[in-house]
Amino acid sequence: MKGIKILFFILMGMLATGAVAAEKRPLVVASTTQIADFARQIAGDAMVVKSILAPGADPHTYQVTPADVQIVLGADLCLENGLHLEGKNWMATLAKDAGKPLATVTDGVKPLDLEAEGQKIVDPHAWFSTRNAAVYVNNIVRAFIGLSPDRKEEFEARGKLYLQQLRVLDAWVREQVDRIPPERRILVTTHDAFNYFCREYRFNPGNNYLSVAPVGWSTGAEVGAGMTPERRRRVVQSIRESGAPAIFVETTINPKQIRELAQETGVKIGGELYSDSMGPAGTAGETYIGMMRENVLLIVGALR
Amino acid sequence: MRFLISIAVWVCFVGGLFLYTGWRDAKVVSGTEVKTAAAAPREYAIEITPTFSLEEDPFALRTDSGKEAPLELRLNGRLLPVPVEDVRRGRPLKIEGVEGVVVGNNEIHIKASPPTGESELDHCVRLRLFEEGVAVADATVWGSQGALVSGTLPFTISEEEADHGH
Repeated sequence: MKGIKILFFILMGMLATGAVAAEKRPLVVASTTQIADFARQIAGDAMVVKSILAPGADPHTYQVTPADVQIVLGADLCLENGLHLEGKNWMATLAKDAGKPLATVTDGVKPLDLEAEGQKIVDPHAWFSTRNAAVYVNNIVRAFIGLSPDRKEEFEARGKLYLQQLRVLDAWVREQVDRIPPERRILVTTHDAFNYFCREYRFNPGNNYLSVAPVGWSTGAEVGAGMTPERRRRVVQSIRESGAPAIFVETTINPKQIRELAQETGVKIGGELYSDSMGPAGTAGETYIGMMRENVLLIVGALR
Repeated sequence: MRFLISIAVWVCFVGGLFLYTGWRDAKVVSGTEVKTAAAAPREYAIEITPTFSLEEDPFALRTDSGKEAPLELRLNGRLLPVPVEDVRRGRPLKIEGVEGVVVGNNEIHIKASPPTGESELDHCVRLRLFEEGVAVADATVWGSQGALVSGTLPFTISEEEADHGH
């Protein structure tokens, strides 16, 4: 009798496992919150999308945890920004060590070259141009079709809809920015994350339409990263010469440096911008479109 | 013994449920007869007049099988060939010999991407349907700032009209 009972429970267990297996959806693991949002827009309910970085986390200084290794071990596809956004290429390393396919979503983006300490550096914050965001989306659609070819039509349909939303967002950003008089289009932020944004929407004409920030392109320890006294001096000079009405802190970085700069130069803090990460669930910045919308409203409100 | 009976009842119940759901999902919808509409016997042409010239859309979908055309014209869901290089701002472009118009309800759908550099403007495309050279349907499709111009021109060809064509 005892044997029959054991057999019964084994049978129940097998049924439960079978039911779970039947519902298994491919797992896509993205390095950043922005890429995870793009992926969710394309995947719908056909895939599970997870982000390694939590909202508010800094991709430049992220340290791999055992829990994240476990997530990547279960992935069917990994997505990275590339262009060295992920400090020491941690996403590529995670995917390689786990033997998982990796797609670099900036493939095809025309990168902005920066000069630092006599070296050429490529700016990785490409998503701040909505046109580059369209490149990200196209790469994700292609990667998803490669993973689940039978769902090609639905990925393409979602991709087309989302690209139309990005197109409208781009036009809206231009219309909003146009409300700021050209001479007041001075964007000073904590770190050099807004170069693509400045180039696309014509901010900082005095700096060749590139970002003005005391901290370099990365908050990590790479070449051209961090803050140097020379960099800080140039930013103070730039704020004073341009007459910037406000400067901005970022959600992923300690605001101390910008607050000190604001005091020293006598300008106000315009608010907190989403930069390397989007906002937590339930906030206006929890999606890419929401993040861009809120940033633009904040910038326009403070500068016009 | 009671335990064995309860297992047997359970197996019968769950097995029956599985069999039923499997049968229900595999059931092929029995061949309901789909009426195919008769082709309208007259000559049709579609004229499009955009307020913009076309340019490559940076927000188009690009997959391995190609990229989205900057203008798509469909008749009853079927893509019509349009010489996109001839589409010019304010200039009417007539596509003659349009096939696929049927007796009954028809739809022309257009989707076009105005230049992103003109996103501060509202753009539109005027769509006209000609039957034997006479305009019989007309609509203007608008796209607000930055959006694609996308819309539908529905029209009906009555049996009576079709009979006159014989």
